[in-house]
Amino acid sequence: MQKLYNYLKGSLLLMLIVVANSAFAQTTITGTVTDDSGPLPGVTISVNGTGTQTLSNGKYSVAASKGSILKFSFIGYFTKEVKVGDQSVIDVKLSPNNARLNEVVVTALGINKEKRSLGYASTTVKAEELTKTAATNFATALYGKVPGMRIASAPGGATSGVSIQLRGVNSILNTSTPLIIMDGVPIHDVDRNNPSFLNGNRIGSNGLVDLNAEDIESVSILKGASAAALYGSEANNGVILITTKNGKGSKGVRVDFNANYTQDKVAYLPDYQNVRGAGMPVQLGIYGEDANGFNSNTYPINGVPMRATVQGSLNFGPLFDGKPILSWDGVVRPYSPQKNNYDGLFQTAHNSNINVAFSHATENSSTRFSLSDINTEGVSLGSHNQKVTANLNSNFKLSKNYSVDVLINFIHQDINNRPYSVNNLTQGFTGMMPRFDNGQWYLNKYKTSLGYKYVVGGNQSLTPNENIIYPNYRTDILDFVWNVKENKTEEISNRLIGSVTNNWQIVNNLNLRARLSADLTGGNTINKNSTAVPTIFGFDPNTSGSFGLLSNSYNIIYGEVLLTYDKKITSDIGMSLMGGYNAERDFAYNTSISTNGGLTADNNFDIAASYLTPTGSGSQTFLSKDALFGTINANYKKYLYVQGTLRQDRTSTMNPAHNTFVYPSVNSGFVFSDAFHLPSFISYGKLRASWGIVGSYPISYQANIAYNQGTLGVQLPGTGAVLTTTTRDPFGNDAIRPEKKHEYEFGLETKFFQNRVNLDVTYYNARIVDQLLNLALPQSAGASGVLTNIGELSNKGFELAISGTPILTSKFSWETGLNFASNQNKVVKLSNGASELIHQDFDGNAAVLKSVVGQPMGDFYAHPVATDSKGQKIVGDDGTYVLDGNKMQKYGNAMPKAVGGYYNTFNYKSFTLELYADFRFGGSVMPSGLHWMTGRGLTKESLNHMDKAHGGLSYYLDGNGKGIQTSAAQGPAGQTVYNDGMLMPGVTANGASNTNVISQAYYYWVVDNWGGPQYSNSDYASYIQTNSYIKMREISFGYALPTNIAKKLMAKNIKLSIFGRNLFYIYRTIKGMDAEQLTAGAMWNQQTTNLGTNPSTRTYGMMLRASF
Amino acid sequence: MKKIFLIAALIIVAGITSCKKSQLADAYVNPATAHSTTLEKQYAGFLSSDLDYVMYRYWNYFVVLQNTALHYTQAVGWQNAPGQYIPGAASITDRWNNFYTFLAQYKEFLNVYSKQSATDQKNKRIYLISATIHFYDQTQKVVDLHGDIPWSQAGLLSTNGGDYSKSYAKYDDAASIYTKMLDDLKGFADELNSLSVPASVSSVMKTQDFINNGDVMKWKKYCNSLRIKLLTRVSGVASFQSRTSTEIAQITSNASTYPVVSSNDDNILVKVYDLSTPISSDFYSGIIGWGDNDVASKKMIDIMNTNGDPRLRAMFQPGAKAGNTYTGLDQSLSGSDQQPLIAGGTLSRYNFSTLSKNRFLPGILITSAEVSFLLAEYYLNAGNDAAAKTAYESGISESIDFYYWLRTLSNDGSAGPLAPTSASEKTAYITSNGINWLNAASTADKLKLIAIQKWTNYSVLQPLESWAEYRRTKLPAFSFVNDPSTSVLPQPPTRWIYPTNEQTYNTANYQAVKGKDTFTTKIFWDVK
Repeated sequence: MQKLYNYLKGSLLLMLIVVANSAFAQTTITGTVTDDSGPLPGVTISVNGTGTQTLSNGKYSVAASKGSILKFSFIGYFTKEVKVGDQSVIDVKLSPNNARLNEVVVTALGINKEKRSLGYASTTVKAEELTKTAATNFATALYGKVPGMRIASAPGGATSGVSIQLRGVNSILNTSTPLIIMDGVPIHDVDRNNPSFLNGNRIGSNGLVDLNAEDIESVSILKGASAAALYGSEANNGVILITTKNGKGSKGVRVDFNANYTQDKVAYLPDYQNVRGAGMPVQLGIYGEDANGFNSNTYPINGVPMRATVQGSLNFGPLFDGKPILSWDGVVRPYSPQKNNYDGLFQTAHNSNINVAFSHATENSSTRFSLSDINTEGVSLGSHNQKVTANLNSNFKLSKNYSVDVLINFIHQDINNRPYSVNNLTQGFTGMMPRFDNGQWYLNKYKTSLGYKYVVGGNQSLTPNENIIYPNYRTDILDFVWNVKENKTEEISNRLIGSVTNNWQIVNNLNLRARLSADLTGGNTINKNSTAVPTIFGFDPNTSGSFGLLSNSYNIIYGEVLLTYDKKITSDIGMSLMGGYNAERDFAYNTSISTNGGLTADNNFDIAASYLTPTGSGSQTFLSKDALFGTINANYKKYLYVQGTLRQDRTSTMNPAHNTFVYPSVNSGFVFSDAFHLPSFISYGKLRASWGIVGSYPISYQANIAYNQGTLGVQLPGTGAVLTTTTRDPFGNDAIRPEKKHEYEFGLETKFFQNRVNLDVTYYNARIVDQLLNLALPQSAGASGVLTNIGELSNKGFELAISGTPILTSKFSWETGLNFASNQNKVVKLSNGASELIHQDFDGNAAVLKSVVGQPMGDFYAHPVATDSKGQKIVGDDGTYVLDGNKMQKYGNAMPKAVGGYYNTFNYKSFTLELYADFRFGGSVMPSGLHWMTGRGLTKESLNHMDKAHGGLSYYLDGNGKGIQTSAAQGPAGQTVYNDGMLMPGVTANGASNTNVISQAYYYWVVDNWGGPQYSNSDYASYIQTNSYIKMREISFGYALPTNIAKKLMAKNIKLSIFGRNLFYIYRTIKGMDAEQLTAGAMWNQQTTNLGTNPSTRTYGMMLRASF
Repeated sequence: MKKIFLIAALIIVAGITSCKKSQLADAYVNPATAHSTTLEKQYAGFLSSDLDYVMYRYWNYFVVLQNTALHYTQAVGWQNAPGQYIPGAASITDRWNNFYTFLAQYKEFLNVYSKQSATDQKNKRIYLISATIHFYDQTQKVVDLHGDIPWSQAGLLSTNGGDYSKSYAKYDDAASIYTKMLDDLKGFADELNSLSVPASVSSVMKTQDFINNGDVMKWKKYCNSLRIKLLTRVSGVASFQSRTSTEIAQITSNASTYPVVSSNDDNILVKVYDLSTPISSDFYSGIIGWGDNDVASKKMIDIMNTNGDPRLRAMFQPGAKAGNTYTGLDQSLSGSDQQPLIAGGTLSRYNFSTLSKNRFLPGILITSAEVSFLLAEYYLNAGNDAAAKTAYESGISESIDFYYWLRTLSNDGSAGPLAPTSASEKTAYITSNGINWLNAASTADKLKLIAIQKWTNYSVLQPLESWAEYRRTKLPAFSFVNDPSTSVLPQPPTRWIYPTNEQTYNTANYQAVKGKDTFTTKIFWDVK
């Protein structure tokens, strides 16, 4: 609360001042609004948040105070503002805004183009869309806003990575993340600490989350191959072009201020049962429990023998009775469910962002400088980060035909304790918390009073009386808490992205642009692992603590020259030629040094405290690439446009003998609404067609075949050091070719009813040949994988964007829009002649994720229940279904069928309500962890059939231990009757109908267990589920203060808003988890099964935005 | 002015970032790797590829052995729990993958060897022979775990220049692998007697061979001892029986031609010289894990207690609350009843100073005690009771000395000082009722005595050997509580299944062995 107060006291003060100012005088203003052809009806006139509309004769009347500003707006016309003086009549003439149709967008290489001239689909998202709900990075603000773009965020909070995918999966091996270009400059996206996205147990992020959304003016998305063709081999996944805000257009000095505060709370947890504790039904005799299902031992507490639960991970035990029982931490409590028992293991994340921007423009220069202070936390205990960014964007016109742009973006980050993976708690049987257990107990017991790691049983301890000796502690949770709280990391990094661009208009038609940029990241990481076992018991590398210092730098230097020649050939035909060269060098260095064999003194965190000689390592990674490129553009009467591009790439990641590749493209736009005379309701219409090739290379050193080398040091006094080489795994491939995507697309863009309704449709068809893959091999072949060109994928689909303004009055308006994209992926062929490619094997062949030729990538296969010759299901001796170990069937496919978003914006006077929903339909996932929780008796589902009330059958056990269904009070020989029975319809091995009634506890344990048919009878087919959802992603509610009030506060405008993100599901197919919970990495197949990164969160926040 | 700016900018663009062809070529190669190697480097690279399993390390014990071989041999006591006999997929996969990584380095070593000149091949033949001996030693362990394995055609990806389509390896029949190894080792045993190693070769090998430092005599002993181990393992298989008796007889009767590891000085070990190098052990966190995984089994402690085994105080230490009493955990109790015993601090643990916290614990390849016990069985079956007795007793003596010697290596004192043993204590033990060879009336009883000693000697240090010998001899007799929770494995398995990466990625070849791929299939030498 203190934090909240601190974050907000500034804004609260402002709000108080606002409320205190409210008195002002008003007069009535009248007038007529016209355009070239006469009076204009329906024009909105707004003043101080109220307003009216012109009548059919163009006349209006409105109350306004002197000095206030009347705003005249009408779709298709330039908005006009008139300051109220002493006059009472204000006539206004509006001029049509053709610019709206001549919208300028940023295209490849940062070249601005009229949108109407493009022959391919492009989407631009403006600043206000990115910052509305204070998303902690620009990518999470894009959910559902771009047709064909799929976003998935790793759970955990602001530091977790975000994965972006355009038009489906384009590569089996590489990430789907598009190339990110900021102000024309490539930005490295892979986190310097985290080449694999997941770094050990702490969840890493990617470079794009570094960028501050507050400084972004717009984000343009180039999806197709033709749009991105000028980026050649880097553009396989499309390109995201970020333009930062600049000072242009601000008159004099302008100050923008934004402050927001958000809170992330753990949300979308599984649906836990609150009925019973640890154990199993007594008739199964699994834990050697007493007749009531409790531990057969009692424990004397203050001389009174206390009961306890069994020590075990299954939770089909005795029902909660509220009577005293001994907990594992030695405290006697009522035996009752601990409903929110995970709460103690996570924190509420408090995030704030304060941003101030100063802009200034004169005739010959413009400058924008902004500063941000961003504080974020994860829900993982102890995770907190500070980010300070400074952004300078200047333009100097040095002479009439020469100008220089200077951009500097500085990002300082101090990241403490990235979220710690909860894998062991969600997917490890021994880390699943029973319902009679509590995170708070673990927080109290995970370390001893002397600060060492908890000790169980009779193990050596300096505080033997504190040893954990009572059942049913969960060592995985104790370890988790120890690791989260006592193994600390701090990453401090500085990132400087800067560029200088020279523009020289050599002669009238000839322009030369030269640009040099750098993206430099340098940082240090400090790892401190506390001493777990006192070193007086001896030194051990794993328990005596450790300290590590890592430093790393990642640098990109990029240069580009571009020569453009424009020529109007005839009055109808315009042409331009462009040629250029760019080159990029990346170099990364990592060094680390850490203690070895433990710390010499407990918790003495320094390299000097290393028990053995400290160990060090380092790596250097270089990448060079360059490209020559040219384009030719022509237009006829500014309604028919044609563009052709060609790029030749060279890269160091390919064998020098063949590292040069060519990428062509061609596209055309035809504005038929200008070419033909169309009915007046069609305001605008354009057809697009394009074709192009883009590609993708292996990363540095992936292809090269070489030996790893090393030394074992001196192993015998008097001899030299033992030098070693070993072959690489995965194995390289010197003959590798780049992946190439050949894509064509067609599109139609239309606007109706004076732009009140907009429609944009695109069809695309891409064929990606020479797919790169680290083909998985059996280890017995000599390596676990080999880099190879495996085959061909295709993606085809369509994208649809409909938007409109159904209601538009002076006081109220409603804008709405739908984005929808459907992609159909197919594996066309595999080059090794195989019919399928296996990506992943789960849990000892329980299920596999594979791609079959002719099918979409990512089919989930699992073993079906075995059937006899008549097709009847076979039930095993134990009463559960037997799986067919020799057969696997398809139960789903990982590719979503459709993704998109739906938004509504309502404006009423000065209030704005915005609602954003996004959706995904189709696409299977396998959240094994959820099923294992059921198998451990933790979810509500596991209560089915637990007694008569839950549909359980009554049965007794015969001499062979088989369950015989009965309605009697006891069995024929006096056997106890149990009521938790289930009967599997089917036949036994000898063909007889199955009559063996089994305990539901046994059923769930078996069916939702770990492992393939050789290990268990787990029914993985049931784990594979479609993951469709419609989520209310964002709701924001804003209020703009009347300008005269704002003015009294010396502001041009002030806007307050409250908002929420990730709020609730309108629809979802998988209950008990967030639909994005499985996002564990940027690769498509890292988003299908892992329940274990961090809990998902729900965010609430508020924001104050003001301009001065 | 502006032109100067611009020209400067162009020069910077051109000079700083533009790429030369050589620059692209240079950056293709990772500076951390080497594009060529030498026979000597690849030899040491091969030898060091199995150190995670040869040395006493966290992963091997915590992930691979903790719930498998250590339990199947009752080398430790543990809390009975549902599903306890099913080996984790991680145990199986990790052990397998490490072996095949090691095997791939051996095949690459052969590849490098094949490219040497004829002269070099001749001069450096000792590298080939010694590498193969060690490779066969490790091969046996994996055949004993799985049965048939990809072997002769395995690991050739690098040799095939990365052509994976040629590199999917067929499975070799387990018995034929044994045959091939026995044939080759027999050949090496003779060849080593006549092999001349140039000084220039042996001086380099002294460094690169960190097992025997190029000592040809020690490689001979390793070779012949390994032959005894292999021959004994297959001694019950009809088709191997005559070979077993002939060849062991040949070895034992020609000690100078076929020397074996016959004293602790001969032991084939990977010794730890410097903890700061990659060759070291960190047994503690592996065997103890979360705690208590090093609890002694009642079976072992009772036998040692009853007969006054001098190894008791060297191998074990009493529980923290047990005073001086050594107690093991009764494996026949239910998990619930075992839990308070484990938590109570009265059970004995493997000795911290000798074993768990002994970071100088050498990787054990073959010891003289082990060879003696195998020979005792051979002599017994050959009807030479006197020689059997001698071998049995010397095995015991060597084993006792070995454990006391391990303690002298240790830099850990947490178990307190170890009272030295003496000749009289050893004699008293060897002649104690339960141990005395002469008290055993029948061959079967004598086999039981040998088995007890072999098992005690293997303890937690050689659990895979121990499990293989248990499966071969069914001795010592263990009883395991039935696990009612699973129909897959209510009792310990008789082999490990293949890791799924074989089933999944080596599909065609796997079909040939699929029928045998269960936990309850017996390895071909498991005939009792």
